Amino acid sequence: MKDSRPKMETVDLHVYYGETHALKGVSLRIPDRAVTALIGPSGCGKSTFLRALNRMHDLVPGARVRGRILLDGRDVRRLPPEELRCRVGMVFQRPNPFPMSIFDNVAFGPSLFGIRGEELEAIVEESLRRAALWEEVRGRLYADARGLSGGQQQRLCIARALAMGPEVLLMDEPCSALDPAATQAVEELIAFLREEMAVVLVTHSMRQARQLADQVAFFQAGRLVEAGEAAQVLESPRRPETAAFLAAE
Amino acid sequence: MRPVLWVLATLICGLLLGLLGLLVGKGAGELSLELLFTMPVEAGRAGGMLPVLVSTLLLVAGALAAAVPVGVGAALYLAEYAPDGPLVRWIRSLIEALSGVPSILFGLFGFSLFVIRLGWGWSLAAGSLTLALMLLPTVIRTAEEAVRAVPRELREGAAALGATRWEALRRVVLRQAAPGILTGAVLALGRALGETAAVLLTAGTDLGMPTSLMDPGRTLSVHLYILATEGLSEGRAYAAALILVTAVLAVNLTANLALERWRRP
Repeated sequence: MKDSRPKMETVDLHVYYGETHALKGVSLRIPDRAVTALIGPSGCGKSTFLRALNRMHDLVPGARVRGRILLDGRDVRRLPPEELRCRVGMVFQRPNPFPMSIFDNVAFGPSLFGIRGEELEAIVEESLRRAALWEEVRGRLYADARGLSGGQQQRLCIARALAMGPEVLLMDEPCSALDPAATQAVEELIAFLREEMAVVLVTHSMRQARQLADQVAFFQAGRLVEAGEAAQVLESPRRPETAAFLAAE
Repeated sequence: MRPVLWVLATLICGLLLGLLGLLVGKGAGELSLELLFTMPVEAGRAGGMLPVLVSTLLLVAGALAAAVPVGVGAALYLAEYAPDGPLVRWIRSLIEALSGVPSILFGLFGFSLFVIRLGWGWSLAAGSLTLALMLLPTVIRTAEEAVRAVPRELREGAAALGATRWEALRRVVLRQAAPGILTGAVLALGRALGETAAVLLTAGTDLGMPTSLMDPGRTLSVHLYILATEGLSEGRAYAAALILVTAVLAVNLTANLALERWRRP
């Protein structure tokens, strides 16, 4: 957290959807081995910011990105997007397992890069273990992933992202579609992943931000209003907008 | 309103059952293993229908083998790559129009292209390709709808794991769309089995056993047409119709069962 060199950094980042100016000049440093929580009202640009970090906007017709995004100090536009997305993984709001077996879901990413056989099996097992799902699915690895419960599906999607060995994990409200027990399982997992990588977490839950975040960034109307250490932003915000938002929550 | 609907529903069910009843009543007596597995005698008045069944299978299989890959490819292009502009809208409405063209025109086109110009003569290959052209609109439309119905989350999920657009399409989108594509193929199969005019003009009416795709052949529906119009054997005509209808129903039911199992993980 105190590391002077951020894992990722954005400088004056703007995102436009057609005529809509969705993100207005955001500069933020994402520290390694820490959880950065992005908070703010709906439509404030926090998901837009998150999706800029692994260039998901490239897939959206009409979306334009201006400004700089750095990974280990290098502009991400110099990397092929596929390579960037291997290093910067993503977990979505709603679990999105592929229409295939549990094994094939986790093996999807590595197999794109030609990994096969025992090496692949080892990666799948390790990823499922790290996502705290292995014990629940070890007996039915070849069953259709869509038969899992919602919470299991989301942990499967996390395992799938971990199988690529990402350096940064982007999570877009990963618990919003989950029940309390499944939410707790995923939160424990985030606390554990934080030891190994940079986690950027979009969340609507102040409890979650308080519990997991090292750094908190508050967005409003497409701007970054305030960012800093979690305790400082959440307990004694510097800006009145942040205070008003926190009071309302 | 309710009683009217009820009467209409009964009417439709009654019509269908009556049709099946007619076929069973007039055709079932003619059905036998001999009919299915022996050669015809006296132009089909007696004997079996083996070459007719073989020609039908080959022709329909050939038509699907040509129409499904090309149609799915076209659907992928339209759904995923085609820019949204006047040209593509124009292509799409041409495809729609193609599905409204009377089949005899496809027959005439296939006849002049494959049979005459390319010199293939009446042949299963000419029949298959003509049918394939006819089926393309159905295959393209259903496959495009199936591909478009794949949730964006799945494409993004694949992209987020480092998949290129093509890898995401091939490994995730196509798999998710497969049941829909299969539905289109089954619809096409039903039409192919029943098509008469286009096949008559391109595959011919030869009753011999085909030994290659370049041989002419007579399909069930053409056989039915000839048996009935030339007054060869009314019973045989109904038997052919019964086999045809049973095949179409069997294909539809099997496909529906397979889809049920596929969709429910």
